[in-house]
Amino acid sequence: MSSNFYSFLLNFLKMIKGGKFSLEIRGKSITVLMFKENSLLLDLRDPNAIASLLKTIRTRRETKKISWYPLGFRKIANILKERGYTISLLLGGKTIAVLGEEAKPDLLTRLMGLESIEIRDLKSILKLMIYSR
Amino acid sequence: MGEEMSLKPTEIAEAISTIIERLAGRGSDIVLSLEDLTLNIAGRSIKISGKIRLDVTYVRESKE
Repeated sequence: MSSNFYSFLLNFLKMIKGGKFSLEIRGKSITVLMFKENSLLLDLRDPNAIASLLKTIRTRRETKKISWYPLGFRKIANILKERGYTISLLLGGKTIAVLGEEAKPDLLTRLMGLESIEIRDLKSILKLMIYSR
Repeated sequence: MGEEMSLKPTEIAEAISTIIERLAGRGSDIVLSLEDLTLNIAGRSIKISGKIRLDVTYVRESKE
């Protein structure tokens, strides 16, 4: 997606100063978003359900590839950093990555050019990427 | 690393339509819950709480 879209989305996120948003399908918690001032905790409770949704989207775009890891993440993380916003990605309540302002990337992540991304649990991130393939 | 994802509004609408189509007829229900969601719009603070429940059913068009 374009930088303009990310900026629009970030402007919207910055308007939200607190509270919680959650999504349930058939009584099962899928995703919970917890907002704070300049930060968002995005808790993916059911990666299988999220992967199913992503696969559903993809079937309509069979001729076009969607491979937005990690380029998309890098773009998002850089915009977040520029605007002083942080998104923490959680899987079942455990933080697996931090994007943006409060990210503390290690040397390897920096060498990969991902200066605004902190990877806390690479195994879970890879699992999430495989789920959504 | 491949091509970056770029979706046009029509493609987003198409994707939503596909998701609804797939959920329909399976007794699926989607619940969106908002808990003390505080928005600051033009210097004014707005707090929203509540639930939105979407029951997705599928109705076939009758052939006449």
